[in-house]
Amino acid sequence: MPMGKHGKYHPPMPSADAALRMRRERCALQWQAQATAERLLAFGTWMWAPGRGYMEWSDGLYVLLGYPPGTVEPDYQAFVAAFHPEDRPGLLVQLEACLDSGAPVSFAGRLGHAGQVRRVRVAAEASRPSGKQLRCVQGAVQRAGIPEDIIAAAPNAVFAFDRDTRLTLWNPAAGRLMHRPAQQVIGRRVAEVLPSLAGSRAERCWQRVLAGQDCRARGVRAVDRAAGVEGFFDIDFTPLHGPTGEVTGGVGMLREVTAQRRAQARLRARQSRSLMEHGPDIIMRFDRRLRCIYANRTLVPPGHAAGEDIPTTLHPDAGRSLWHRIMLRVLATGAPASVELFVPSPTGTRVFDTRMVAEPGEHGPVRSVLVVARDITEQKQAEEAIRHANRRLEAAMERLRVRQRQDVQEEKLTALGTLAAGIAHELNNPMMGVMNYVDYARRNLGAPETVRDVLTRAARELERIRDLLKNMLAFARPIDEPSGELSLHRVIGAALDLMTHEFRSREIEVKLDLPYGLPAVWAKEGHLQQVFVNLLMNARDALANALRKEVSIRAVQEGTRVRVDVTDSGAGIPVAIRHRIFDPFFTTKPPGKGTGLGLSISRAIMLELGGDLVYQDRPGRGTTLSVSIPAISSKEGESP
Amino acid sequence: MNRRILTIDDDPAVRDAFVFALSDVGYEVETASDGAEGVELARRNAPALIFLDLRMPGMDGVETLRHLHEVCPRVPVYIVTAFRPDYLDELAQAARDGLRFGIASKPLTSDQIRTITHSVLEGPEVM
Repeated sequence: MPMGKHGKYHPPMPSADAALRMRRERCALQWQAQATAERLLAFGTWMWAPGRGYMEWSDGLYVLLGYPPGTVEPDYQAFVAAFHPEDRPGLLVQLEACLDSGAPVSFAGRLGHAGQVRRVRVAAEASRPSGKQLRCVQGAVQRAGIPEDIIAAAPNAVFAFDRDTRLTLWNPAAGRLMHRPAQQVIGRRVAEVLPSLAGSRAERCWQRVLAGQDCRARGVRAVDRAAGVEGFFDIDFTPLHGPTGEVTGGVGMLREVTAQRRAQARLRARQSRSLMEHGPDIIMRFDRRLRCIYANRTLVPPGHAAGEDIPTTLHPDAGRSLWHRIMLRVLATGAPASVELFVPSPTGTRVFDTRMVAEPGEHGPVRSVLVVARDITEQKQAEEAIRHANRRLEAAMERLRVRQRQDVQEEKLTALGTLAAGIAHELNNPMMGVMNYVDYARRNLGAPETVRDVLTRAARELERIRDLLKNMLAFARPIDEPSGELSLHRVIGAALDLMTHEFRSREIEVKLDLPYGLPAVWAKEGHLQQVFVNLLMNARDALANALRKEVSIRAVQEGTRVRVDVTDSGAGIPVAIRHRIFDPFFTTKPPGKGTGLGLSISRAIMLELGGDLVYQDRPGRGTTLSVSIPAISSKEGESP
Repeated sequence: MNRRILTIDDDPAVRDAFVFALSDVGYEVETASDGAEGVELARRNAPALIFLDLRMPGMDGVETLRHLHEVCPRVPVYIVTAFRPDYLDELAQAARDGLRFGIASKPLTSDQIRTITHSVLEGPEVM
């Protein structure tokens, strides 16, 4: 300030001015010191004069209560409202008591609510400033914290770090645990001090901590060879908050669990070894060069040591390549494999259900393969026996079904035969009457030639009906002709003679293969001939639309029988109707073209003769029907 | 020469067949509709040839055959049958008992009836 003798203002007492200036400067310094102290130690002060109705807050208190300085009129309500709702009643009680009786306030509570909560201590006492009657209360609010000497004395290893992960605290227990005193580590990054924690779960943990969350990492393996540290640690992390609630860093608590973990591992190993040694499974371990480094007692009988020769008992050279290939794949990929191995043994091939699992080293890639093999030979044999039994059962059921079908067919044939025979017999008498009436009329009618001619035709038609009736009787029970010794050449020749005209007019080629020396058969000539005529007529009808028209007749001796195959070059019989071709009245021919009695009559006749008539399945080669007839042995020359 | 023919059949159509086949070629045909009547006719006046049905109500053909054998053992008998199995065993037994008979298969045409008749009464006919 410029001073001159002409100036208006002249301080009366320069010495008093200097004293005032000095007091002001001291006051400002004190003010600065308090502000610095409040910031560094995270506290704030206040003064409350209820009689005057006002409250005074320091800048530090504004920050601590969460209000930007100057934004809120400092008063009693705003002060209490900054506390957690649950803590407000307790605080009010102490403040009122202090105001009434002068009792000092000592209160621990929480600031804020919901998201950001900070623990604080409140201390205050009453006073009478300037000796006046009005009471006022003045006090401080400070963030609660654990005193460093407690941390230092704690038996647990505790460290703290800032947002840069630089260590700010490293208590003596941590120094002892990690073999590094605080002087060496404070200010360095956590990952430098605990290099094996970098990239591990612990690092992810402190990232979460800096995001404001608690977290815990169990069984973290830490190796610091320079410090001679190697072991497992559980680490608990919790975030540290600044005065305004922002995360300023974190605290970690280290606990070594190496001994517990090793004990647990030993116990597990003992238990699993016991299981491995005495279980029913063969257990082996192979190293990366496929050498057997372990085999349990199931494979190695007591008194024998595990060694190179052991695996050969399970996989001799025959199975070695497959065995090796699978093991190499497991080693390469780390993926487990499961395979059934067939191993020859003196008592026959044995089957092993074999599983291979890759075993990783303590860190890093697969170091060995564990092989568990169970002998499932008996199980497999039982399964095979069941399958075999099932197959036999199915075959038996199929035979039964076929037999039932045949039985039903026989029954139908019998019933139909009885019916046909009855009708044929009943028709015989009227037939005989009509035939003779017509004949008599034809002979005794003095009528014109044309009428006699008509009656002649009527007589011829009646003879056809008579023949049909005889056929029906044959179908019913062929008894009117004795069986005898027959030459197949003659019977088949006669049947072919009857068909010669038919075959020739339809350009059907006939191939006949009847070897010389074919034995004679025992049958009824008329009926056997009827059977062959029926078969030839069927062949003729089957060739109606065929490109190549050929019928072959081939006879062979089969033990005590002669089999005659009648084959046509037609389209064959569709699978769906094969079982019906011997049904009476079943036919594939258009109405009027066939009676459908041919094959069923023929089969009935053959069964009656002690022979058979069957369909031979020859896919893509037309239709073959085989007649089998009892043969007569040339030596005995007698009927069966 | 005896040219009387006896036909025993319960069916008039069959009896008619024999009458029409034989009466206009010089034979005298007598008919009976059951076994008893036929045996009575044969006993009274023995025919030259008897045609006999097997299946008849009352006395059947085989039993009639045995009675005929008693009343006129020398008269030839032709069984006219459609070969129903029912009577064949009895017929076979009758043959083993010494009864003689021929067998003709039903139905018979006029020609067949005449051929049989001629061959029995006058020796085989040359057709």
